[in-house]
Amino acid sequence: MNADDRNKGRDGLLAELEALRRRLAKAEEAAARLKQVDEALRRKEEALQEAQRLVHLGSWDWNIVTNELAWSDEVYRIFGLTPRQFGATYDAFLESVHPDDRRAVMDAVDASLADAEVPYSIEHRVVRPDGSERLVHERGEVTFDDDGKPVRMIGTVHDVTELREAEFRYRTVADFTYDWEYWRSADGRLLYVSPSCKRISGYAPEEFIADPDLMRELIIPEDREIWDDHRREAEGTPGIHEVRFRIRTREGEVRWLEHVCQPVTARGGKFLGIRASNRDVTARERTVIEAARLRQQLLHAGRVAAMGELAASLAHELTQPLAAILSNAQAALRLMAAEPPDVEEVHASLADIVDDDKRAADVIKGVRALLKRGDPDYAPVDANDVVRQVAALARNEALARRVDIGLELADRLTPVLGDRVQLQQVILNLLLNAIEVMGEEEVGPREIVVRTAERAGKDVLVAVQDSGPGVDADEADRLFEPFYTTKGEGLGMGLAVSRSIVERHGGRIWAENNADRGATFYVTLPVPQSAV
Amino acid sequence: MKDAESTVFVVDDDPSVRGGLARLFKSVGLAAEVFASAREFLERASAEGPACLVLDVRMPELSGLDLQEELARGGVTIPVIFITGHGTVPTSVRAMKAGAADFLEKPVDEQKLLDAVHRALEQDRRARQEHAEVAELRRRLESLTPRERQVLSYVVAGRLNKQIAAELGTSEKTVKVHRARVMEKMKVASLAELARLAEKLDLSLPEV
Repeated sequence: MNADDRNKGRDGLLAELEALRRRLAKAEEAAARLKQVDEALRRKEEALQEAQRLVHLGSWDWNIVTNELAWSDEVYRIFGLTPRQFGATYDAFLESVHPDDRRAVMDAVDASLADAEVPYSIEHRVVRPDGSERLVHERGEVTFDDDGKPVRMIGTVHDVTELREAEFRYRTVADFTYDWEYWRSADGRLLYVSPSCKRISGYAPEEFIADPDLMRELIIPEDREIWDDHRREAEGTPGIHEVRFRIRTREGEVRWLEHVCQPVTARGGKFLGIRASNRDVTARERTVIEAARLRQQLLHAGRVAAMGELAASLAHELTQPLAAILSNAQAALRLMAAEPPDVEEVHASLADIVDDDKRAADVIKGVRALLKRGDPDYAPVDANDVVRQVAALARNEALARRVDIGLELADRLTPVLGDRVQLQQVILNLLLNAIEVMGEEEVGPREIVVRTAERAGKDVLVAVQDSGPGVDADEADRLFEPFYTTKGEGLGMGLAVSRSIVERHGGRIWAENNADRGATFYVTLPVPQSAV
Repeated sequence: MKDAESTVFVVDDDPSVRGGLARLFKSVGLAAEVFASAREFLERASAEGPACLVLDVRMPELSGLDLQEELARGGVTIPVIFITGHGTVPTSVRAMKAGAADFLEKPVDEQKLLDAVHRALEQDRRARQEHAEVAELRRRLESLTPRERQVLSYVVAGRLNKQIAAELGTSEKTVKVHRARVMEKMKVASLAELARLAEKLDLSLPEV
């Protein structure tokens, strides 16, 4: 070897060495890259495993040709197995399926293998080695070769145990509600109807779902407009809407429903229909109606009782004009028979007869109005008129008991909104009571003063002041309780009824002792604000 | 005595009732005066001729019964006919005990009312006549001297002139003169007539 050769040889070696070094560096680089890729893959795999664990969703891959089954870690977890325990074949998988569900699973797999159009989707139970059960939902897809032979099936196992339990809980909440619950979708379908509809309406949930208009048809014709108005309003405005109407049940019975509903909206605000609840309030409604009827009866009874107390006076009130009519008529007969007849005087007699007849008719009209049974009729009422009319009615009772009634009425009062007859009843009651208590006092003035006043456009005050024995301080509050009486006779309902009337007019009634003697009963009635 | 001189007072607080009654009384030729209250009647009622009072039981302030009592206390003897819207037994008993002429219920039939009024007026007329007669007799009696009154007492007691003279310690002749003057002053012609007058005057006999 010469020097050149040697040199050449050394250079060549160096070059070779250099090349090797570069290759080594590349290889190292590649190895590092591969390691990175590996790492990335590993991380991806871990992320996938983690994701599967979080949503309880495992995946599997079944090579049908070799009957090798590969499961993701999550599948093992769901099935309660470790990879070694599981033989990883289809048959071994079937071993984990609940015996009662095995047939269905096999049929579902067979169906999918036989026909590409049939997707594999089934819920079945899994029995873990420790005996506990899980409910899983499996989905799968089959790959076929060119000959149409199934070669591979991949799919997922979803542990829906908790999900189904939650669903069951919600459904139980819905199905076991006492009221008739439903959810109507935006396009008018019934998404849910609770079984209670059957108890209330006689129709089953399926019947309502099949015919979304059935409920409207059950509403009695008189109330359908209420319902239609309500539906328009409820679908247009957010918030809770309430309405009451009557339905006719399958058995033909009319029932009162209290309907409460609100629009359902998705998070984005999309309208998803109406959630509604129908409550059967028939019993309550009947109680309310019955109570109203009883109250009417009580008011009526109160008036009848007051009229009874007044009967003698009313007879007198009628007798007066009748007496005058008789005298005038008989005088007229004589005056006509005279020679020459005193026509002028006859005319005067007849005019008086007409007046007295009208007066008698007015008395009867007043009595009839007081005895009238019926719904309160609210209209503007002048409290002064009420006092005057009642004072005229009680006048004779007062005379009989030697009591004077003085009126000190305000010049002008803003009319209050009220039922004239009921307000008359209240004042009449107070007057009759005042007259009665005075009967017990033998000395001193026997005087009742009725005053009216308006207080700053706020309310009208009627005060009935007597000069009787007054009321005990302890009694003052109890006076207005039903069946409380200080009189020997009487039901003790007068003041209770009066209070119920006054309070329904938005007013107040109370009693105070006077500074000197006797008591004063006060009634206030609010003046309508628009009238101020 | 004619009806025209009689007056029917009507007291009723109800203007229609008293108006009707007044017209009825006037239609039968009776003068009627109306009053709205007992007080008003007490203040201004007066009658020369026979009168009666048609009175409502129930009135403010003084009732009909109160007025009846008030009149009795004042010695006014006018007959009272009560009319009432609804008579109760205790009220009518009280009224009748207090001397009411009648107690009628409203509306009262004219015949019953007019009969009652006529009866009452007749009663009042007689009472007034009686009253006038007695008053006249009293005037005559008062014109006698004390001695003549003594003689009158003995005469109506049936004593003879001689006995009277002995009692009075005077002569029989003087007694005769007194007796003739008594007959003259009392305007009687006979002893029998004198005795009747004395009875009417309710003269008590002197201590003998």
